[in-house]
Amino acid sequence: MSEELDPGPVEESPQTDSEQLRPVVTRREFIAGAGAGVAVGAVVAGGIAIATRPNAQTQVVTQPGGPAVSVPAAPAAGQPAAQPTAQAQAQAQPQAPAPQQLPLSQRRVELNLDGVVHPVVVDVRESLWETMIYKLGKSSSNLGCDRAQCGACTVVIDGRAVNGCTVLASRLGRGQKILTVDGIRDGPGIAGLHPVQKAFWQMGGYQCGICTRGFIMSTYALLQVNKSPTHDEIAEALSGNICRCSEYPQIFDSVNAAAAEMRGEKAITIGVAAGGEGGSLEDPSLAE
Amino acid sequence: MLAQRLDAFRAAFDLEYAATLTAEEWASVRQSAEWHIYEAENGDLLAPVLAAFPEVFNVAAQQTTVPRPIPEGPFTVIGKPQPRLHGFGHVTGFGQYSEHMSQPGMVFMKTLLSPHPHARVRNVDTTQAEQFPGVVAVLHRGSLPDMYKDVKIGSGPPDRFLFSEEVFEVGAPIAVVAAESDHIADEALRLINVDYEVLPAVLDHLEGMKSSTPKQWNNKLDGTTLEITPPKIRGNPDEGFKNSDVVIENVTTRSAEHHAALEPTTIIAKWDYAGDGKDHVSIVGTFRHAHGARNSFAQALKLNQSQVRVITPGYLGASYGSHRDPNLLEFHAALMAKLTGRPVRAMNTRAEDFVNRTHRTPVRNENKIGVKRDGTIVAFSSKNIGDAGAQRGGGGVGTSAGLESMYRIENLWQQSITVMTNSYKYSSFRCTEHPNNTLAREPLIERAAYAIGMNPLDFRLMNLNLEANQDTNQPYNNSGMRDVLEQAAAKAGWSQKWHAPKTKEVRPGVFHGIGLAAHSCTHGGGGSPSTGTVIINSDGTVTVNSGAAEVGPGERTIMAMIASEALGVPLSRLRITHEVDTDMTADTGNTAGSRQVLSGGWGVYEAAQSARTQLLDWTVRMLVDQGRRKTPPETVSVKPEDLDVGRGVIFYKDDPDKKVKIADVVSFAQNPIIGSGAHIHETTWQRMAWAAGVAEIEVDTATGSIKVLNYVSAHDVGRIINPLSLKQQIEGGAIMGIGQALTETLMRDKATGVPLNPNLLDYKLLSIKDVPNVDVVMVEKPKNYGVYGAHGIGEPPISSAASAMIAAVYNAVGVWVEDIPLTRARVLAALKNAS
Repeated sequence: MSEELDPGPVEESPQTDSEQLRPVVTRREFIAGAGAGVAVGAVVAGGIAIATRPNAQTQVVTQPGGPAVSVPAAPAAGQPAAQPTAQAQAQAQPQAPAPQQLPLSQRRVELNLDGVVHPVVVDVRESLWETMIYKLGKSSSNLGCDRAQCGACTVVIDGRAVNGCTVLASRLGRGQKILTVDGIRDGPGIAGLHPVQKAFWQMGGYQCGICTRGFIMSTYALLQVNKSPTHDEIAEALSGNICRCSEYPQIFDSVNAAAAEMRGEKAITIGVAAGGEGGSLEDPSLAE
Repeated sequence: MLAQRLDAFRAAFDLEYAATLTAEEWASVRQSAEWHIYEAENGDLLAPVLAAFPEVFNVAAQQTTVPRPIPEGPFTVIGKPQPRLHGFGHVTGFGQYSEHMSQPGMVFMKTLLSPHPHARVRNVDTTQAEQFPGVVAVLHRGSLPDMYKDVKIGSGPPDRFLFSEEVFEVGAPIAVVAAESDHIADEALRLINVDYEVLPAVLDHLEGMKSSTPKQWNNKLDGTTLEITPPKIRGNPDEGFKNSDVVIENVTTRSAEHHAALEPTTIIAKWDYAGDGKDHVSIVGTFRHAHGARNSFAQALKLNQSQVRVITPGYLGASYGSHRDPNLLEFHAALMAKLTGRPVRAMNTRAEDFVNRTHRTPVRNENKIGVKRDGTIVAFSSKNIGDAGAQRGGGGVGTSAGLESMYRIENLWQQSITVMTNSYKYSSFRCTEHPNNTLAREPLIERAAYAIGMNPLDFRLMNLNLEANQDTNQPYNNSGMRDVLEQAAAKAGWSQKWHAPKTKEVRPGVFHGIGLAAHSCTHGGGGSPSTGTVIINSDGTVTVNSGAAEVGPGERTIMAMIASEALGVPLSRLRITHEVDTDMTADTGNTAGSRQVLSGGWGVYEAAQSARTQLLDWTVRMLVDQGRRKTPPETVSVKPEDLDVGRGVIFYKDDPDKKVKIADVVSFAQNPIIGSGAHIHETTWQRMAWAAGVAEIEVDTATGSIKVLNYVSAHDVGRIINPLSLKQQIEGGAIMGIGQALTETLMRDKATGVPLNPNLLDYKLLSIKDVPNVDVVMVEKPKNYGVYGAHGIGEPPISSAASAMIAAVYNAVGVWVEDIPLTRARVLAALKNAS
């Protein structure tokens, strides 16, 4: 993982007395832990409730692939001192924070999104997708699983295709350039569309479209470094994107068509009826 | 308003219950979302009820015996590949899915789910959660307002309420929390203490059938058996089997499969009092039938339909027959909106979608066939046991309706058994019972062909029944089944590639095989409601209005294409919205059952014809008026039949260069021209989809791996309207079917019932690296009942793959593996048993 995306120190999971009806590894821990190479069984990460009853004095950890195991609360060697949870923090400080001071659960970042810098306050648990949609009001990236398994949320950060659901917004804002489908256009309307966008539309590289913005960005990232990908190279580059409508045949056609235009071979024109220019279906006298 | 919510499922499939309904109750049942679904997806199973209550269903009044002429080409718009009219929104950030939407002041709702498959909820303590900073409201059975306590969901017994005291599945909702963010709601869920009394659970449908299995309601049948149909008998099966030369039995099974539609189920609800202060709720969400959803909300929330507004965005992340219909998540969100006074957004996590939405039922088919050595099928019997999951079935569970079509079978015995389990709820998955009818029948057809030494293609061709339903005698219409089989085989190179089993080793231990399956389905013929509106604006452009929800394959584009062709105005001057709003459109039924092209499609077709008629009438009036105003006045004698509309202008048929502008006519009429369509479907024919699949594979006997080299998917499509979206539907469905045959299975822990793979990593969909080449074959045999002769396509592509793969495996390695999915373990076990 690159340094810019290094998530920082691991936090403790929240400690409560109640029956913990959630996977015992929080998502944040999972994401943070992934950088440190901790393997967590997919059953735990992706499952429904697995009830455990941790003692208030214990710190709950998971063995790779195994059930929750309670260990005494002494912090492990090398770990920083325990941070208070958001809940404890809020309860300990009932007054509103001073204007420049945010609670520990919030962070101020400046996100360079599609060429525009957005200053925004984010919850440390917020993914980039959540920030873009809930805080910035964007709709240029889609959510499929929120678990880095389907690729629907793929965006490009500094040239690399990444899952926006699994990048924490609070870890960005260090000048990384985030690109979505709205950042690869170079103008309004059909004329401003990137070849990859034109291709997926014209060739029908999608049906319901929920995977499409992700496929477009993965394709964009591929074609930036390889404008003549083979069938296998396309499959490899897009292997992190699922299309449940199974429109893979037309996805290959779309990538090839986009690559051809980017190589300067054949330009894609959007069909007349979809709003393109001119066309033989209309009566010429209508032009008067 | 009726005092108690009626049970639409029982009204449809339980004649005893149906007989108790009054006329008013029938009207309410028929308006329900569930009834629309049964009409769309289980039409052939509704036949007994329709026949038993003719005064309710007025079938005779709808019948017309005048054959409808099929429009001939050449066509201007239809038949040409058309990219999606709303595609700009898909490839940029302009298209908003439900998951992107928000309202000012919106709160986020999350649900606490039962971890037990069967339990009584003794106590729910939400005090800590309610006090958690950022939490706006918490709702559970104890805090549910009295007026909603008797609202039942779905069919029963066992009964489900908005919050139930007894829960029957992992994932049943116990409490919901509305908070300022998803994260806060998530944390608050962990502060809720629930006392469960864990009860014994049934996790296997065969277990559920046993008399030793504890009942979970006052069941007349054993254990958790829901239904055992009286056997369907044709001819004399016992005699038939006695008179057969060869009798073969097999058992085919299938596990639970999930749609995994990639957009998580989402709803935003706002109790907005509609300006006049009366209860009114506005809802946006991932519904495949906005008007049906409206009905569901009205019934669950004790409102009338005018108090509910539902909007389905045209950017919707697919359905595949999954019940993108309101269930507990959506009802809770709407209730929360009322109780909090704020807009409420609820979005399922991927795991919640896996568990709480519906699935394809696991089935077990016990089949027997009797044939003569000359290839005649003499007798067939099939017993189908299906797992309805934690509900009172969705109709057609495990049934094998459809044995009355495809082949001439003189003697037939068929029975369906439906069992409730405390597990994944069944409903349609890109069809209802027909994929299972194919699985029950086709592998046995293959076995019979091999047993008598006949080419499986020839065996099928000689037994085809293409005239009529063998039980009702309702005729078929221009069936393309023979062409479909022959063209599928030709495209696959069947005559060159088919060989005897286990005779083609292509590499050490790797064998080539090819297998065929045929499929028929009663879906795709459309039905009521079938409505649409076409408005010609003052500048001559056209607005098309349709209630047909877009779920992904391009329905809205097709509605526009049909209107464009029928009216004579090109797509560049015609627009249809992407979304459906129940306040702005008439109901045209569910986008399900492959019905929308022939439902919404007929609606807009007739609306366009109506608009065209009015337009030409007004043109004549305008021309006559223009003549009268000339100096000297001219008597213009022109009739509407002398005129036509094409390419956006009106012209004289005998002099096409003599044109009249549409805008001028509309201006003369002083009103936009409004054409409306409400199509009545005639009942002459049994409308059938016909399809076939050929799988060419390699089986590695060392690993048990199956590699699909090529798959041919052939379909009688009636008429091609949009060749691009038709190709997409067919190849997409075929790939989905192949994936299900190979790798898709929902697993649960045998002891606790906990779902084991409710995520996209462990529930294995075919990825772009696994996808085989799919050849699409479209056969056009225009139907009298079809708009422009078309027949629907959404579901048929998924059904043949499983059976074609089973056949191909036998052809490759000489063993029958008849349990779907065809995992490596199963292939290896079959090879080991054979040796």
